[in-house]
Amino acid sequence: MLVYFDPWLAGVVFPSLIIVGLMAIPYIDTNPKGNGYFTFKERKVEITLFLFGFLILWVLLVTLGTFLRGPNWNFFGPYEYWDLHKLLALNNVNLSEYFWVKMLHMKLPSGPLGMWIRELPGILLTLFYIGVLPGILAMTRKTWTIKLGSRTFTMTFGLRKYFEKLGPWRYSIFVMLLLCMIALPIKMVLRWTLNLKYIVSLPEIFFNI
Amino acid sequence: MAPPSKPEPGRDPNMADRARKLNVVFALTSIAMLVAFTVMIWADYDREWKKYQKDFVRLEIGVTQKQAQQAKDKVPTAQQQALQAELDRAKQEEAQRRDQIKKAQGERDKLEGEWYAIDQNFRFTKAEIDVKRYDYEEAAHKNKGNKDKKLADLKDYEERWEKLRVQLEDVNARKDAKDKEIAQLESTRLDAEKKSKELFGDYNRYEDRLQKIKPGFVTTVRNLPVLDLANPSLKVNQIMPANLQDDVIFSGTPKVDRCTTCHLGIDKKGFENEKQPFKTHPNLAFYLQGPHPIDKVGCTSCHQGRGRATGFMSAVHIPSTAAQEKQWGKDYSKSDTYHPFHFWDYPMMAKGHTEAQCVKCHQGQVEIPKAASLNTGRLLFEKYGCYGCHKVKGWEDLRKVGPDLTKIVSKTSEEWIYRWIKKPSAFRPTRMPQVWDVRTPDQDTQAFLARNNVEANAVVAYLVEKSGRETYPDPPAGDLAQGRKTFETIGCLACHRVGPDRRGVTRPCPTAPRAKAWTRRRSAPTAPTSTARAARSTPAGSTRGCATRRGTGTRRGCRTCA
Repeated sequence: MLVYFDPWLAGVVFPSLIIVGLMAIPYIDTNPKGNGYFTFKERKVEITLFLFGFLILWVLLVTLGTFLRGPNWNFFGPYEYWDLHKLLALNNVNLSEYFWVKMLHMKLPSGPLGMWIRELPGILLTLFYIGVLPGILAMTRKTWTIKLGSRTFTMTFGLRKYFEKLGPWRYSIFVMLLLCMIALPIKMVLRWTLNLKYIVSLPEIFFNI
Repeated sequence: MAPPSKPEPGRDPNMADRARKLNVVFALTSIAMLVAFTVMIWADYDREWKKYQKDFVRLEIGVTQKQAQQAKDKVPTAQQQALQAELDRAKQEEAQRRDQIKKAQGERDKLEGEWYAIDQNFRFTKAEIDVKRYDYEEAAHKNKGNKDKKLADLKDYEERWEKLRVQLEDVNARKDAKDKEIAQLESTRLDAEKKSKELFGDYNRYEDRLQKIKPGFVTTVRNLPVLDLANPSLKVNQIMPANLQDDVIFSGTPKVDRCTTCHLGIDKKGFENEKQPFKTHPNLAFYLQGPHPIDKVGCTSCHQGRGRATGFMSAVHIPSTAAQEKQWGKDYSKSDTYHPFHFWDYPMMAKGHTEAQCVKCHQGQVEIPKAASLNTGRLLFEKYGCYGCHKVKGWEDLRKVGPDLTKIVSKTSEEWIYRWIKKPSAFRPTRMPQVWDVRTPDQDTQAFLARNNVEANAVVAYLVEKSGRETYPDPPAGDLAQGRKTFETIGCLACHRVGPDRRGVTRPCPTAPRAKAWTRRRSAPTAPTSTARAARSTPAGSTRGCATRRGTGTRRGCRTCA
């Protein structure tokens, strides 16, 4: 996490959220189905979410971090020689640089409010992610059915069902924990694909997302 | 009879009542814990030094305002007015050129964006080149992979980098040209502002300082309990001089001096007349800002006391006068006398005693500058031979101040030794201490006095008994003629006369008549005067001892001259 997030997020906020979130699971998920017996069919989403958090974000990342990260925190393939001198270019760019310099061909805003204007795209995006997206998800439920040969797969977007089932408070907590959890793989993918360093980068006040 | 069975949890009729009681206990303990927690946070927050820091901010604002006003008053009014007029004129001119300036600044901003993109690309390409070079060298070294392709790749990146370098130089040149153009358009204003900065340099500096120290909403929030963990304006200041340690018995810990947490004006000019703890250190140029820099020497190296402390008592302050001791007792010890913190081995040196610490560093220096008391003390210490009994580093191997007594009886007698050791100062002024008869008269009883004599006699007996004897050869017999010659040639006659010889005396002593009258009054049968004696003893015609022998003048009482 420390590779992809600012230390205060990766070291303080997220670990706290993980502990609080794990403690909150019994209060959010009050569905009695699955008590005393094993079932996947009745708890597909819940079990998938839990296993994503446990197997992918925890076990897999610990395994990869242990066996595939070598000297200088560089990535090495399985059986690749761990060369101390291996070089990797870390040409990462902040979202503000993408927006102002690469898209608008302008200099980064300066002046007394410069840092806030500079980071406005990232701030708006973050606010959208944690402020607007939960609302959109609460109101949406779209289902697509895909036929592959004799089998059909159903894809659903939106969490309206959960909003109705959990009520506004429990839904808000659930969706916040979910979005925070998903933020980690999102950030990892953005780093690998777009060399994105920070979405919001305010080193002036030691705040980065 | 079987004991009554314990009711099952679900069937206990008193359970609800017990739960209510338990709720009350929980509520009370929770409240108690909350109160304890609040008190704990407040106790941690409410520190003695914060009060001093708040007082100092108020003081510093006053002093800085005064200094700013003085700096402003230094600039003559005519000059101020001329500068203001120049600034106004420059602003008017700039207003006329506003469109031109705005356009140029827009272009400049675009260039800045262009530069940023090229510069970033340039740096990123350099990083890529390093990676490509690593890949190629690895392939060449291990003869693995397609090294020719990797080399071509590297060359390709290097060419790109070269092109970017040219682009970067080009954009930098255009940026500079645009900067010059803007500076030209704004030259009048810039010139006027430069003059203003030069003229009001000191004033501006004081004003900036004022803005920085004036408390406001943000400062208040920064200093709130708990929030003050981030970046408070009231905070402990500390100096950690490199390579200096405090001796805490069996181990040394790095010296940390937090004295400047309260002594806030110690290294600032302008607080010379303030009360402690805000007073400026005396002779700043020689101490904190001179050869004893505060960041390298710290405070406790010279003053002692507990550097890590942030409270008056725990820093082990020591009073310098009886009145101060009484006052501090009232203020800090809540009693008539002051009881300093006794857990620290090195209490602070009282005012006036700090020089004692100079020797820590100035070992072996004959005279330490600005340490008159210490220098005098060291001289006296050596002169009186204190090191004979008191072991002091650096004074171990000096000779003893008293004379060798191995052969004392060769030159003195028992009687003399007795008189000398009983009261050395009775014989002559001396640094030899008196050992007996030193009690006050009411303490010195007859029994004590008798005992003193016995002890002194015992010491005399011991010295005489242990003393060896030195025999000195008799001096050779004197030669009368040679003696006279020497006496007359080496200058003895300048002060002495022998017999009737009155050479060089041409007039009576100015006090002689009075002395004569006095002697006449006192003694009727007068003894023959020196003149009469001379007249009687000098044979007629003799010129021995007479200065006129060389024709230098007459002498009263000399027969030849008379």
